[in-house]
Amino acid sequence: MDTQSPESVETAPTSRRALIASLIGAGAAVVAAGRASAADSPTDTTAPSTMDSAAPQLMSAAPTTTIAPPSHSESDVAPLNALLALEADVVATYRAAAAKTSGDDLAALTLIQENHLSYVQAIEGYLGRKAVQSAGTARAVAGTGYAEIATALAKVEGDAVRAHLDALAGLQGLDAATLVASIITVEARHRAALLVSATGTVDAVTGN
Amino acid sequence: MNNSKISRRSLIVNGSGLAAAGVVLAACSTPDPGLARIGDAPTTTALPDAKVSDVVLLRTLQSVENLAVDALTDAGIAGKADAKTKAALAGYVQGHKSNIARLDQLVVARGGESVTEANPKLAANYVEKAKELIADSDEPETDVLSFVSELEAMVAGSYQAFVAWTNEPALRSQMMSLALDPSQFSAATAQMIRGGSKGIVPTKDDNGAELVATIPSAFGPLSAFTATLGKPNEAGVKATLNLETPSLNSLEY
Repeated sequence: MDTQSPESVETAPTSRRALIASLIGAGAAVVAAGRASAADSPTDTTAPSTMDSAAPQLMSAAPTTTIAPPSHSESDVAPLNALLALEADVVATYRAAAAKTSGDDLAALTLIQENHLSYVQAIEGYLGRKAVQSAGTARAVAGTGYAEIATALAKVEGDAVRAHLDALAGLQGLDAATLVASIITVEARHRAALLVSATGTVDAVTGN
Repeated sequence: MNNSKISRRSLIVNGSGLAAAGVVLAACSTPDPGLARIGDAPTTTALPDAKVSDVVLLRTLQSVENLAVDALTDAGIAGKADAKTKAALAGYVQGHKSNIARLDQLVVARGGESVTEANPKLAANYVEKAKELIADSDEPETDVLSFVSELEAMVAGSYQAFVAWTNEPALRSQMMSLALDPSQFSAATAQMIRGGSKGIVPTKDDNGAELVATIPSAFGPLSAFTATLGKPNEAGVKATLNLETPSLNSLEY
């Protein structure tokens, strides 16, 4: 049984037109309230719409970003291969010089030679298949006694430090730069160790 | 039969009106403040906008170099050294002052303001503690050498550590060129403790304790630099002072 009676147009409280108009009005009120609420909120971080007229001002006020230095760079391969060849030469130089010594002197020069071999291996490991292998060519080291040999090798260390500093200035990759920096500090120690152990005084490194 | 007092049309109209009013009220509401708070809530202060720029690193290195000058001229350290060591320390001070002048140029060229004071955190943690230990020591002259060797290694290590944080490749090389003197000063001081070619190689004494070596490692370390100094305890062991390169909480922003 139908309990709902049909309504006549005359008895309806509102027309269809009035209903649609009231719904549109309510929707507009909701949108306006939402805008007002968003403007009052201090924590709102919603990005502005690109269609919003305020967007260009907000974008221009955004902080500038800094691009982080790269970890690796293809441009570092050539200078690192040059350092690799240099370190191979230093290893060969120490090997030749150590052959002229014995006892504690031999142990000291062998330790430093092994350190340089570690630099060869570290750079080779960094470059991987781009490493250019080098057998190394020994530089002439004058003298027969420890003092003369150590003084000559200190010059080799000084030259190596300068070469690493020059290379470091052009290295783009942070990993290569940190590796070279860790070599520089110890090569400087090598130089001082050789000079002070050879002369028995620190004057050679203090400039006194 | 028509016994309904609410027509379908009026139901829809009134229901729509109520729904719209509810949405309007919800949109105008404020966020839920949560549970009521008793007492005064402490105000929070936002952290300053601190960025680790190249200038910050250079300023920090200045503060580390200033620290070295202060330590090497302090009566509690240099004053406890023998004549030979005092002469060496005077040479080291000149090297550090030269580095400070070069750092000043690098800072100013980048629009920064130079630092003329020692790094306060490092001064309190390392220099002051070293002075206390040396003051109590039975072997102050040896302890001064031990501290100075590690202090210089820490200064050189600071340059090395900052290479990884520096943006400008050419500046990395300039900074490392300033690490050469502290590195050599550290090695030279180690030679003053255990000299000759024998002192270059790491080794241990008869009791298994590591002796000072001029070349302790193949690569520059970034770990703590350990100085052994002070009055030996009941077991005959001196205190160790670990010197670390500046970290984020000790940079000169």
